[in-house]
Amino acid sequence: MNTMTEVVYKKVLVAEDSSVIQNLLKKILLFENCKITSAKNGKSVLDKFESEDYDLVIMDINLPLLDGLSATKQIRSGKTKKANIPIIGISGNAKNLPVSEFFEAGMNEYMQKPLDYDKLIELVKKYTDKHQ
Amino acid sequence: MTEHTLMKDIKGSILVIDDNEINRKYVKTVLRNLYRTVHLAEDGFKGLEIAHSQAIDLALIDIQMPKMDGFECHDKIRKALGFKIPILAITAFSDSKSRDKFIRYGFNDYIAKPIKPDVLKNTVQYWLDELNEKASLDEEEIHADFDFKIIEELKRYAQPDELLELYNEFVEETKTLNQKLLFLQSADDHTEILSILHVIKGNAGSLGFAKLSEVVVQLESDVKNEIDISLAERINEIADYSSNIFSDYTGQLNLNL
Repeated sequence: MNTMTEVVYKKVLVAEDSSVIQNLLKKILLFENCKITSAKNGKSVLDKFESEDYDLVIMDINLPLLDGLSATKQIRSGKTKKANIPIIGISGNAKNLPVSEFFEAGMNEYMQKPLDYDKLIELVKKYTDKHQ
Repeated sequence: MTEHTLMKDIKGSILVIDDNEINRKYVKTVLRNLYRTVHLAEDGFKGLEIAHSQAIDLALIDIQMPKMDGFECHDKIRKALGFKIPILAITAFSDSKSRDKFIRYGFNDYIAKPIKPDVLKNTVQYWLDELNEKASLDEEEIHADFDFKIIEELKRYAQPDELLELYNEFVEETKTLNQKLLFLQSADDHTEILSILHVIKGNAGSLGFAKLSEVVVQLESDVKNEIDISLAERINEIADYSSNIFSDYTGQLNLNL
């Protein structure tokens, strides 16, 4: 088998409760050879994160059951190598939180909605390329 | 075009006002290789002198200072630099109440002590990027129904049929959500109303429905701050505006296959 021509998909876990934005990100990131796994609440993000290996997490802040900041802190508190996965935070910042809190929680980047898609793609490239 | 937003902005000029010499040196050590200049001041008076004589892109102000505290210092520096320049508080208070207090007072953000280098770097960079974006937005002055820049960006990443499908999904979902809003309004359920407004805002903004997003943002903030508003009327307005704009969005946005 010729592995050179095989497309290597990057595995991205997207935590976002809006299905419109989930689908939007799916379409856009497919362009970058990303395979998206969707999670619609903070608990399911953690479940999916535990049961599989990913290259990147895109995390909305405003999630049901467990918010994106708590989910990020839980991921970072892990003892295995997985705990260092790159996390890009996204949010409409409904609660008007200081941006420093997202970084304190352990996110590598933060983007305010509406998303700048060019910048998002750049960030996805930046973190997934480094990962390989 | 996208590269420069990601590259560290080496032209930034930062003002740090902190009475503690170790803190000042610490902040300078973390930031000095990333930005053109890091000015240090040991009190508000020195800081103000620098703010008047130098071009400053961002200011960091310690809250607990003896001669002039961080709040008074904020007011003076804000006056000198104007409302566009980000001013961040540095503080040992970290409970959510005092945190909200800083933001409500007029600081753009705060950085908690003990300062972590990554948090400092990332937060400063975020606000400098924000400043650059605002500058370019001002030139464009978007008050139109659509933000065509977002839509053009999307067209580069998604196939026309996929994009049309996405927009259709958004339109159908928003129609349903508008119906829910009308119902919730009669039940006076503000929590659920806020959560729906939040979803519409995010979706509309992400798909380039600039004005819809803007109107929803305004209502969201008024409901949250419990400003006396005629909720029924405003929700009806949003529903009317949406159905109006949804009647020919495929033509307006050039989405037709």
